[in-house]
Amino acid sequence: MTENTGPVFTRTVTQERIAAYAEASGDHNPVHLDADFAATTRFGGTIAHGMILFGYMSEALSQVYGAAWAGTGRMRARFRAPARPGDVVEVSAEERSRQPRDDGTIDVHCIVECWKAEPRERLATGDATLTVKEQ
Amino acid sequence: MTSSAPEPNARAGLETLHPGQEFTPTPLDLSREAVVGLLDSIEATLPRDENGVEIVPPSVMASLSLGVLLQHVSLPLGSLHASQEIRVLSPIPVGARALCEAVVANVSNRAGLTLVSLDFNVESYPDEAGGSRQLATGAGTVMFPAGTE
Repeated sequence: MTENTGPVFTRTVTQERIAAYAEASGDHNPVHLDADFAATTRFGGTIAHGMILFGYMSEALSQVYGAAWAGTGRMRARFRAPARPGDVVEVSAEERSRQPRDDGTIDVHCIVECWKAEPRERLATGDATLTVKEQ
Repeated sequence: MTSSAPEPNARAGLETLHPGQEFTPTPLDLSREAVVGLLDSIEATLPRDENGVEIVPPSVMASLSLGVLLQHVSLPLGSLHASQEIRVLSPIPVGARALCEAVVANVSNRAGLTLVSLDFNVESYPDEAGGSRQLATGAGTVMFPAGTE
């Protein structure tokens, strides 16, 4: 591990943010937006889009690695549990390895995660790689 | 691919989905308004490269590509996103013109759930010589209770 590790930020999930994401993405699935419909599902209420958690993890990598993440990033993410309005989500990025390449750049491997703060529960995990310039 | 924006297919029902099924290449809206709208909704910022050029982050490419699925496929109410992958192959400036090609990778049933996996490929619009450049690839899987339509 390097200095690029640990909690990056927290976000509070709100119904307003979920609605904003739905509007921006075009994903109007009622399980995210319609409280009456969502109450009939196994979740018992609305939940955030998985892509909101994906966005949090991407933003964590962007904050740590800047444009290198935007320009060379790759991430595989699994959505493990839903985030609900009111949840405080902790987003962490942990650098696992650095692999120098022949062209002088370095491949970086990270694990990023979203955890619900209370009660503690892992919501999403991401396995990410990117390429940075040698410093 | 052609240089004009193709018309989307009519939305397919789940009963018609099958592995290998391709959807019409669909334009991605990489305008600043669209990109910032997505980023604002998750309290994220628009990255810039060392020259100050605004770059579309991977999460936005994934969201927009997933949106292609929603344009082409009518999913049951309450469908959930199980997993997502994105790989950016070169920096994509805000405002770039791109097309997303999507194909059904797999349809399966497991533990009472139907899972639909989609692969996608994003390319730049063809230039005057007809050449295009691959910008990103990815995949997504959605799931819903088996038997729902």
